[in-house]
Amino acid sequence: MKLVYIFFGAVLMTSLWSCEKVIQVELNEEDSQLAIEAPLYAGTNTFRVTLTATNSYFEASLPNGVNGAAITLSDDQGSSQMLTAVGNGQYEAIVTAVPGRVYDLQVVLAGVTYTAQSRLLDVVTLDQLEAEYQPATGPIPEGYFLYNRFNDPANEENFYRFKHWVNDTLQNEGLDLIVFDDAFFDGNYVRLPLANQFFDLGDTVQVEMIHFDKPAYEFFNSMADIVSNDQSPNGGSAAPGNPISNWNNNALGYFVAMSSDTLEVVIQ
Amino acid sequence: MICLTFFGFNGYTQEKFTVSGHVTDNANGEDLIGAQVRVAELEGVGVVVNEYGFYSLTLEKGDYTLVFRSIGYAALNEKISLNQDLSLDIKLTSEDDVLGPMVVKGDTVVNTLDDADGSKLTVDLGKIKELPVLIEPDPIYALTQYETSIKSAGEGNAGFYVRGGGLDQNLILLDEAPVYNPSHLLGFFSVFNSDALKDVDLYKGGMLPEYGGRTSSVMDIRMKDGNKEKLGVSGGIGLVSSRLTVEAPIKKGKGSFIVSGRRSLVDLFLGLSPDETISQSKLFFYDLNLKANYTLGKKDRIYLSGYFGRDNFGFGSTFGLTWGNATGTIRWNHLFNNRLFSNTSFIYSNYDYKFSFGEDEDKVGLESVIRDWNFKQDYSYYLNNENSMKIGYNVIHHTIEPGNLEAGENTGIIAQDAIKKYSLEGAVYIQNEQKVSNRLNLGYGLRYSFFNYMGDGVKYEFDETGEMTSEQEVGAWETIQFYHGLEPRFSSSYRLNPSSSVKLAYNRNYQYLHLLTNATTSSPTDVWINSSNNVKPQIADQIALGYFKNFKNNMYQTSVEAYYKDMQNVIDYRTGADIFLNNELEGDLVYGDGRAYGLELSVKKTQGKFTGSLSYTISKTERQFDEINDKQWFSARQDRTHDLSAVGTFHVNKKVSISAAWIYYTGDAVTFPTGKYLIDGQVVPYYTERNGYRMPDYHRLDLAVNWKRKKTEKFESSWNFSLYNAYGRENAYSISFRPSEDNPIQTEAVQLSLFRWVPSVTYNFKF
Repeated sequence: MKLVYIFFGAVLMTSLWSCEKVIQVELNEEDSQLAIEAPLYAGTNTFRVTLTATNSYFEASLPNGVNGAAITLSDDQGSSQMLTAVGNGQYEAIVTAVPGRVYDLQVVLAGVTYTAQSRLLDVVTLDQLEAEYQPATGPIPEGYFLYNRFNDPANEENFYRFKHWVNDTLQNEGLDLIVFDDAFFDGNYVRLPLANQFFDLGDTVQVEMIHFDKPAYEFFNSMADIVSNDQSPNGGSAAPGNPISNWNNNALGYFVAMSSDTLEVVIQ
Repeated sequence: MICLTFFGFNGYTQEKFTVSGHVTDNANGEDLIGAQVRVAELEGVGVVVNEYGFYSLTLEKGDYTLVFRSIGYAALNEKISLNQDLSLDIKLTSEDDVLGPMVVKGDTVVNTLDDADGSKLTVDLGKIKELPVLIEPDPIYALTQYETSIKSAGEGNAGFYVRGGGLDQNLILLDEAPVYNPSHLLGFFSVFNSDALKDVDLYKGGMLPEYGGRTSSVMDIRMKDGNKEKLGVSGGIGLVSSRLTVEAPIKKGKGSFIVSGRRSLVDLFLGLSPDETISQSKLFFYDLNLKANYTLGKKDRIYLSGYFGRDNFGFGSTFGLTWGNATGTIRWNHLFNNRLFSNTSFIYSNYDYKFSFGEDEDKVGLESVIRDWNFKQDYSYYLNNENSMKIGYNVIHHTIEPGNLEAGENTGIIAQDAIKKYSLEGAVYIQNEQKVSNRLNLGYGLRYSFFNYMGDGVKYEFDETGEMTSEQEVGAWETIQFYHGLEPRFSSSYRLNPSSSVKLAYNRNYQYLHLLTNATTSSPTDVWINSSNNVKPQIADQIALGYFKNFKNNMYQTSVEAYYKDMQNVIDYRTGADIFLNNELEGDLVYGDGRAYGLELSVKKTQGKFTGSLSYTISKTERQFDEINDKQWFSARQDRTHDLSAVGTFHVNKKVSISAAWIYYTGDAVTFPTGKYLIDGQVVPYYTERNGYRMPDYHRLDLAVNWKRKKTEKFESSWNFSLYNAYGRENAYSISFRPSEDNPIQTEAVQLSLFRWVPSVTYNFKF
């Protein structure tokens, strides 16, 4: 669907009288809210949890880190470990995450306990990246489409995210957040376009396919709705709100255990 | 017929006779819907011509003068001696042809002080041609843009809100067939071609029981029947599209037909482009209106009407998007006797959209359809002078195909269809329009409606958080959920003195189909859903009170109307709801209440060298959901506190008129973020409150010059030059919040504006 929106946007932009300008908007001041970002990768890695407090939308600084929390990671096999504060709202530990286990993350801050849970799934391997030439089409210039091919595990719901780098630069704007489920290709060998971008000849493109559980999908999918589109009057989402967090006590952000596979291709 | 006792048969048995017939336009034989027939000798006695041009009046034996009036037509007096039942067909002559538009003559004004339906707006299709247009003339543009009680869904958008209702709460009927998506070109034009239309009425409230299915309003559009007198050709050329209409008698005096087409022409130029990527692009829309009618003997008449419209966008084989409506109506009018008129309609309506990427084995396509088959039977019974009754019923079979997926082999995607949904919607109604005294007119009745959502399909159940708890296969025609309800309706007018009246109306409406949209304006990919075990029908109760006063022999018509509307089971989304291809969509919806109230003021001058209107509406529209804003009431998107419009046309001479329109309204309620945080290095806005902010106030001035170039018996032509947004105000279409391109740490608000100074030219001809 995202491409449909891009298309609408392109039509609006190019074929009608329109203009964009930066304006001043007065926003209310609200109490800041805790946001917890905790991506746990399969295998042995540094597991880093970042705690920040939201700041005013127009403030010309990044949200501040929140220190002083006690953070514990545990799994359904009974093992448990504390993270070490490294400052600036960041907490770390070397963790060996095993697919199949359910992980619990507990953050205790100023007397409030925040918890979230995530199941680490097996890796789904990316089989192949295919570049395909597309002639210029209307307002969209010529370029290469990239298709990802992989085998979806059969008879189960699967949820994925694509992350990609072009010439070693992570593509990280609104429309680059691509998440999807397998409702329409369960168990098939799939050829899915990396639909948001056209690549140029000679580009080196890295694609990381992340496999995660449903709460993770719900978080990133709702976040994509909120950050992906700025051309419809509602910012692209049916109801503007905050991404669906898997934290309790109204904390923003996510704790997601994920396995991933990465492939690289040079467009030629 | 127990009800008959209510209608006050007179005790004495003076001999009575009936005069009945059709009222038509002298030049082309079109039925004049809504024309008034009054008896000059009896104050307050008269009837309104029905939607097929038929009237019937029963009077005591004697000599009378009947006065026939219709908006835009010269009044006609006809003396009759009523000593037996009479058949009297009347032809009225257009005001333009008799007087020219600038002549002041109160007699041609149709006085609506006694009409019980106070909250009804009738579009004068002749007059609106003189008003400014946005790119193309549009018959509902003047309603949605210049009537303050009707709120346009957005800059240049064909969608509209009525008295706090939603976009989907307007029943838009084209020759009785519902039109599910009334817009072309991403909402910027309506699908209605003014050349093919005869009559446009909009009921904001107090609608009689014959109408039902939507909670907010009814827009009843009737197509022309076609010229019964002679061959007529008319058309026009605009910046985007061109129109051509041909109408003619089928067999003189027996019937007629009309074929009216409109097509955008921009793509013809695209095809000429040497650049292949441009020449392979598709970008067009078209409309085709067809109608024919034929009289079979004195008592029967058959009508056939159809509408086909489609938009097509595409870039080579990479991307395609198409959508359109198709409707068809077969109607049979039968006169049982001179007091009992019947109409039987068989109606088809279809809306679909399709989009696709790629071609052949790489193709992925999605199609969505909503289709209706509708049988409708109405009887009009002219009981006596005081009472006109209507009884009827209808049954609609709805099919909704939320998404049919087509996928090429290469894609690995399973071509499957989302579960199709079937339902039956029906209603029985009885209504009476009663003249209680010379001062008091009533319209009242009851509508019983039902809705049966049935298989084959799947019944889903969800828990409070929207997680599915059970799914159950249901066989064909087996009921999944049944709803029904009584919809009482009442409207009245009481004449205080010869120049003023008060009107009071109440209506309850049920709505069983609902529109889900991703955006705030209407879009071709909006999704219709039916009521189910999870989705309850929407219910609205509205009460409206109005005071109407005319000055200077009806030349100035003023009104003040207040309304209060209560809405139940209005629909909103959970955050992150996916409305596409989602069988479990109902779990992503939340249901709440709505309320709207307001005061509408209007002054209209319909006659003279200068005509125009000034209207102002102050209103409030709120919603309340358990899941949103901590259960607090919040402003609905379309809650515009102040809404003001001034429209004027000055007729310089017989040939030239100048129009100007200025509109102003409070900005829509919107949701803005208060804070921000980072996820994966991306700035994510932090929202704390739904619709807690306002868009900037909206205002603009539109200008138009109309020039009737030539007018002879055989040929006439005219030009319309319009300038939309004449002082180039940058009205906000959207405001988005995002990191600055130069400095990703700095966030900013960016306003998008459309349509500054849009000039347009239209040429119309007729012979």
